Amino acid sequence: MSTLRGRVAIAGVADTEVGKVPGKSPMRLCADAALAALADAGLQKSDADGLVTCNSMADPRLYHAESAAEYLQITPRYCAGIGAGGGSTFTALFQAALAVDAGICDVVVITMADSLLSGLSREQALAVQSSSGHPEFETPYGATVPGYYALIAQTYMHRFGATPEQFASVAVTCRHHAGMHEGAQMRAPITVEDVLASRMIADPLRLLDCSLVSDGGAAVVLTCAERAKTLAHPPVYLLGAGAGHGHEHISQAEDLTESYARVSGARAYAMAGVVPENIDFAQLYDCFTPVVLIEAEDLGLAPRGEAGAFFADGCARIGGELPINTHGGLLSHSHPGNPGSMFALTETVRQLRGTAPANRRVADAEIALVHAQGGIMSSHCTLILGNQQ
Amino acid sequence: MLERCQSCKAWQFYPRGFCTACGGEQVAFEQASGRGVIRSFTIIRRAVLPAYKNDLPFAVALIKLDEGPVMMSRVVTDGASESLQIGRRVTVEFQPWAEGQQLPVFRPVQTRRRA
Repeated sequence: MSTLRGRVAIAGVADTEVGKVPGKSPMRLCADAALAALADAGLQKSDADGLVTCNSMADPRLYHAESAAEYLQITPRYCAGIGAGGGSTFTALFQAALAVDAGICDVVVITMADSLLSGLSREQALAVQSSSGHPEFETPYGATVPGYYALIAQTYMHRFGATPEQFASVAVTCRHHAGMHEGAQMRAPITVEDVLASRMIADPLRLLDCSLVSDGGAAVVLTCAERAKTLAHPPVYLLGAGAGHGHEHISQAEDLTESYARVSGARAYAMAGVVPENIDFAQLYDCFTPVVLIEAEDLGLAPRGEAGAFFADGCARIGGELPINTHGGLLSHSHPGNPGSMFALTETVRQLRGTAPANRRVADAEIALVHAQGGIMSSHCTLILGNQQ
Repeated sequence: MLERCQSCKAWQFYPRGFCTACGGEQVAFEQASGRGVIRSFTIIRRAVLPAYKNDLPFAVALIKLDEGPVMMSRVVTDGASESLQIGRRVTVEFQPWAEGQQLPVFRPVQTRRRA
């Protein structure tokens, strides 16, 4: 049994402004988040001896983490650029935790940012995202990323009788939460009818079933648990971590309604020594509404085939049985691409510290699950965080 | 033509040049039936690149070939979009793609009326 449980903790967090932020380059946003997270931890730039980033789509670098270190003017002894799509965030944290625990470095800053809204034209944004398809055996057919996920959504509807209304309730829930988040990009409430009236992108996914396109970034500071206890905030401990990789391209997926979130979750639960019933709230990767349902089921948070009803019944709302995406998620808070779930992480830390604003605070929160995926439900990373070691 | 391992006889797509089932290096392309079923489908309504705008709307699908492997393709229905159903049987045809190249697409097989 792994001994990583409780050995590292998040000591600092920061978000940049999100939405339309044209005045700052992705690298600048990355740096701003990093420095603010260090300040949040009560640390100096000179304390950071590890840096992890992911590449920007709007302003790519061949060696992004190394370029970010140079931009910040730090000289880390652990420096890594993670390229795992949307799963880069938690994969980065998992690997950084191993580096801290092994004594490779003491204070790692994980910072990720991008400018998909201001830095790319709409055509460029579509083209970059679609480059995730297999260049020879998928891309020629002209599908978009929503198209790839729509293949999953159609199968889920066919297999479990899920409805567009149930998918829409995921979007409605996230928007409801974003309405309580001052920094969220989209805050005006929406109804199921609004989602169903939005234009169809790739059957059955409509515009409001799809995540946002945003500028923005966020950072966390990771250190060993004992050091974290001496810093500015109560530590948020990494209790469990697990990864799972089933395929990269959707045409090679074993199963379209069950993903390797099941194994990444099982590994994280095993390390943490907890079960789904112990989870007080969860942040699930919401690039598209049906993905959240599959993840909830794969992670044991809802019975197979029943996550749609769970959302439609309001169980995922703050104050409900299991709050999900308390900041509004990629669907309504922001989605700057690969960095997207960094905001799920910073939100989770604030909730577990007890410092989330009162209107969206999860009462008595002790243990949270955060999940990110990359590709087309291809690669998965689940983290379990808690405020008790 | 689909890649097939000459020792364990497994079919695979996409081709690798070695067998992912048994690791064997003797693989060859063999004539496949060209038949399969729709595993899933969607109708694309927004083009990823300007070149695809003229095709809108079009159906993209995952086809489970009778030989076993799954591939992505388009389903051509000549307007009969009600034939886009998971489990519907399809058969391959080849459409011109670029200079000297063809792309496999699939057409729903006509179902016979039951008496």
